Amino acid sequence: MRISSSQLHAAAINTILGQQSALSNIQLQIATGRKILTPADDPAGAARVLRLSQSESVTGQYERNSDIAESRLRQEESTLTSATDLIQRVRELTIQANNDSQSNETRPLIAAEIRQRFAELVSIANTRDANNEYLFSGFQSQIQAFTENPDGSITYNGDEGQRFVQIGISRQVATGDSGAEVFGLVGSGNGEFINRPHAFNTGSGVIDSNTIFDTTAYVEGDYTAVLGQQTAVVAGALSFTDAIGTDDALEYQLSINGTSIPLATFNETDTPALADIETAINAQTTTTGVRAYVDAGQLYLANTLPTATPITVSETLANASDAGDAVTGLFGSSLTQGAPTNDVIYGNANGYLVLDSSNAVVTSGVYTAGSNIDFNGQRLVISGTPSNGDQFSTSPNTKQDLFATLQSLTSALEAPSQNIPVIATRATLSGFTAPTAAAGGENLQVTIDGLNFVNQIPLAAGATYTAAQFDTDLAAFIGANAGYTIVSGSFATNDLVLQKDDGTDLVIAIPQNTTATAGAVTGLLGTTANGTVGDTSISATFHQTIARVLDNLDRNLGSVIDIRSRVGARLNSIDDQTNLNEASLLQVRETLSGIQDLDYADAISKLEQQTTSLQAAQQSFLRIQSLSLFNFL
Amino acid sequence: MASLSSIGVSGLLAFQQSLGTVSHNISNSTTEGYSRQRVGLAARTPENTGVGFFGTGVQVDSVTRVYDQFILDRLQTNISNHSQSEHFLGLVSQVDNLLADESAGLTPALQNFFNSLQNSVDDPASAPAREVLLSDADALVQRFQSIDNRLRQLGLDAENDLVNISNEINGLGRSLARVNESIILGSGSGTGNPPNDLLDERDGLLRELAELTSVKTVTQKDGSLNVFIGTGQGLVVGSTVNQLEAVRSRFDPERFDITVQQGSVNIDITSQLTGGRLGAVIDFRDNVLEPGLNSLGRVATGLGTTFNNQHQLGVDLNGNVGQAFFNVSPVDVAASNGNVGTGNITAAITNVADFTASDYEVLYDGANYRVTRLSDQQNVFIGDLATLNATPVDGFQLTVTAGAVAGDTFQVQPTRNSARNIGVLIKDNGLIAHASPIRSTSAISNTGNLKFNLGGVSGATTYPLAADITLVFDPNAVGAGVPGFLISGGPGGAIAYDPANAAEVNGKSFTLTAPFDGITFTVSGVPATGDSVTVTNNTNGVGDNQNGLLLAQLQNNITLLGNNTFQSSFGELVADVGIRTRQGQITEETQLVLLQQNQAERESVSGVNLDEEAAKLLQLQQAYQAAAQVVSIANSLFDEILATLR
Repeated sequence: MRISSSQLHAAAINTILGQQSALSNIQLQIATGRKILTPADDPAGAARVLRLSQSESVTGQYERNSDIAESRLRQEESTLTSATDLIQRVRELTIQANNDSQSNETRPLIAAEIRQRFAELVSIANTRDANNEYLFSGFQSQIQAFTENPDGSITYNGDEGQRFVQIGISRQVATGDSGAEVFGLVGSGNGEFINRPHAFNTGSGVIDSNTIFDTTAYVEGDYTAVLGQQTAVVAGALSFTDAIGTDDALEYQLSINGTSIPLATFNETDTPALADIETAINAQTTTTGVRAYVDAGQLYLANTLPTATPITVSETLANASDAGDAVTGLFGSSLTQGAPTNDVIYGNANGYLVLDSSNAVVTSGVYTAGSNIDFNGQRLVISGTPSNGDQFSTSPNTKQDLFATLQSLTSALEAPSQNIPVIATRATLSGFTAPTAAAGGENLQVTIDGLNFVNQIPLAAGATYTAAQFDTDLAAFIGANAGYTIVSGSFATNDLVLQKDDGTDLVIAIPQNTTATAGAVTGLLGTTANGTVGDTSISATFHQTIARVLDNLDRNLGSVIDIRSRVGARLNSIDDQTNLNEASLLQVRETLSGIQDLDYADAISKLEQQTTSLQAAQQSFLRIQSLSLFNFL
Repeated sequence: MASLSSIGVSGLLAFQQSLGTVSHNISNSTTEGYSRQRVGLAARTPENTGVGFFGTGVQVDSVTRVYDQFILDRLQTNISNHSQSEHFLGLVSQVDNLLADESAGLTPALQNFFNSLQNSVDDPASAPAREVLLSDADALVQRFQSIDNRLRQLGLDAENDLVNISNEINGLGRSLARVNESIILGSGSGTGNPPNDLLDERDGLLRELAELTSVKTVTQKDGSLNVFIGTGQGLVVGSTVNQLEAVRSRFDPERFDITVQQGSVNIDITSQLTGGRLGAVIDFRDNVLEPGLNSLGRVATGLGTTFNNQHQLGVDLNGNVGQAFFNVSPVDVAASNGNVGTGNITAAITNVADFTASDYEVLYDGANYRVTRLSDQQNVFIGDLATLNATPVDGFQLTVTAGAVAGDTFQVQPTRNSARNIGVLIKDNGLIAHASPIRSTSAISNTGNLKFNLGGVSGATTYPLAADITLVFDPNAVGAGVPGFLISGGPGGAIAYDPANAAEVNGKSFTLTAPFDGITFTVSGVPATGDSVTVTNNTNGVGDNQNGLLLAQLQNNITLLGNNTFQSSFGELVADVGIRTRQGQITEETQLVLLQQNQAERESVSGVNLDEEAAKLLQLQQAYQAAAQVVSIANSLFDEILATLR
């Protein structure tokens, strides 16, 4: 083929240029260490690099998230550890305080430490993290979790929100727990009572609160407040007016809600007591749905179940034949021969009855919305307009949150000392009246802790067992039984203080009359009232309180430990995920490197090869260029 | 019989002229497009004598250029093809390089944004983390804008190129017309000899034109050449030139279309122009740049819309429901400047997951509207106004007002300007809505072990709630003996939940009735009568990150943009440009080889070989010397005669 001179030149130059361009590409690859310089070098690879680098970046972020989650959980764990230690310390103190060897002087000391611990607990519960956010206030992390009220109680201001952190593509881990759960607020009731309206209540009445206002009078139990009608019914004879004319056998009949009450049919000679009327009405309760109660000289009527239907009491004058025959009904109707029947209707309740678990009336009264209903040391407040028969129940809630537990503990320990038997049980006597036999032939027996003190002394009628004799018997008793001491005073001076040195309860049982009724030896009743020495019931209340505190402490400790174990499980899960993340990161980086990183050995050998080719091209160009026929002309 | 000296002189003259042509060849050995010339020598007409024909010497018959028209035609085509592939590669490489730069691409900005989002979600109340998130959001939108801006800059260059190249084509057309005229004159001077250098000049002009666009030529009898471009639009016919004109597009005044004058009308031939730099620019603009802007915009709209939708389901640090986080560009609709009717079209996003990276054209034919997806020329909708107004197309809903006249057209660009217009609307870091709008609180007085878990919230319910929603467990909630929760506030009523049913105790899910059906929750455990849970607005819930977690999960959600994440959607664009560049490189290499082969063929035929010319020089020199000897011998013969006669 014919070659033109300029083509010879151009071809050589093109080759050299091509070689240089390839050389420059390899040089650039070596300089950057990358196989893919632009997406055009490997379009699919470039897209994969983007995907993988996202995967790398995301996984890296998950690792950072894991670190954050871990640090938060570690902080929570150390906080919970402090809380656990604190609860255990309080538990020790409580057991110590429960010991009867403690005195009224030492218990407040224990209470003082518990107060310290309480303050410490509040500060633990208000722990803040590095960002000054409260650990235990749920979502409202900038609101102080627990605040102390003026009365020393604690209010939780947070919520049950839990923050999660993404630690893997499909794995989230909670980095906290709500304070309500940690410190046992959940399911603890209001700390003292669970109050419930009856499910069928039809009125607008609501139970506002129930609190203990008198711990000495407090009797624990389930109570039901029944709203009913306080009637004006009084006991005694009905005043019939049998007009002159026919001598009628006038009868007063009663029916409730249309059901006749047969036992409540009275004639002119009957004098029904309130209890009789109560019995009469209650005999028909299953039919009428109305129950009667008598308390403090008042008769109450209440529906057995809440209903909006009022109670209708119908009074009837029967057997009247003269226009002048009349009677005033128990429920206040004026009944005459002309108008022998009248209905009395009771709608909304105007009275309340508090029943205990055996349905005995504990207290009753006129219902006023929002006023106190006091019974057995509790103060119940009901407001609104309840319907007749509406019921509200209240029962003690033994579950308490940690704060309330500690509070009840300190108040129990700091309670007035006379409530708690100290060192030795003491009995202080006052208002002693010597017993006198009534009919004669009675035997007087008094025991101290089951041991005879005054042993079966027969008394003649009207005979008195004097204070001096009691003193003599006591001296003999102390001489015969070790462990009892007369601290001061005597029966004669009516100021005896007796002490039982072993610290257990001192139980004086008076009277113990083995042959006659208790009332036969008069004068001893007063003695017993004044001689409730070593009040066992108060001691029992204290121990009960402490037992409940221990119960609650154990429950609270359990919940803290439960949460600690959850935190531990989360930390494990973070470790687990971190391993996964690291493995996946390694794999991604390997793949990424395989796609985009340069194989240096390969590239450098290519560089050598390319350099050699370029040199060869340049040298051959020079050779060819020097060949020309003109050189020989 | 011709004299010896006359024969010798004819040789001298012929060889002198031949030597001149060789020198011309040598002198033009490096002239671009020069075809070597050859002197055709022929014996002069012989002299007929009685004894026969005697030669009378030599004469120059013609000077012709050595060329092969077939090779020249192929060269022209190859020049067009190579010029197109080379120029296209140059343009697409700019985009390729833009996307190749890891630090300048969208990827790092997107990753930084989501990483800061997670950091902020890990610690939702932290103002510094929120501030970093905002600044990374700014960086992200700036990255969108800067990539968009650089692509648009390339677009502006391309539009300028269109104008300049069409002007160049017009200039070349005029030159060709002039050369045509000269050739007609030259050929017409009577000798019938070709005007070699003029022909070379015209071939040169054609090659220049071929570099700009594909050319077809037809030679006329008078030696002139008609030049056609596109699919046969005459650029030069004889000595007339039909001017190309770059006119502003009917939808977009910044975009140019190429028209050619044909008779009294201008015809749009943009889509028919192939080959050369013009073809490269149009190909680049229509198939790389604009789809690239659309793809980038699709990521921007996708991110902005999905992020906003989730963000508006949360509440911010102030307890207010989240606002739109990103400014999202609306779907752009442009009416053609040739529309006659008064009908108007607006568009709104309905489902960004259905978005494509294509533009759409809406044509009204007098009865129906036809919506055509331009990327694949599919008619995605044909129907009347009412139907169109009720039918979303590819993720957007058109709203058409009556008044269009048959033939009116509209252009719909769902994502063209999205990357340019995306912005961060939230300036105060407290307005970032990481928290869920509602939370639940179990009453402290509960005695059962009721567990209540709020599920996700949806936009079906309006937040904040006007009033708390309280659920109280009651053994007779739904009816006598049918336990459940009495609901106060919200929808009211009751829902059944049976603590005696082991399956329900392990968790029973509920959705409240409308309009509270945005609230779902799961109840488990055994509640006691009267135990209650309250769903409240998440006031002060600064430590809540539920919505933030959902926002962060958008990064890996593959259902957002047609089975793509934001990242892989951008990756698609990168891969697409990479593939086009790679193809461009291969095409350019192939075309270069073809061109070089072609040039070699042409050079092989028409190129000057200096050695060949040197040899010719020697040969002609010797022949010239011999002819001179003939003259000298004629002279000495004459001298002999003179001496004899003396």
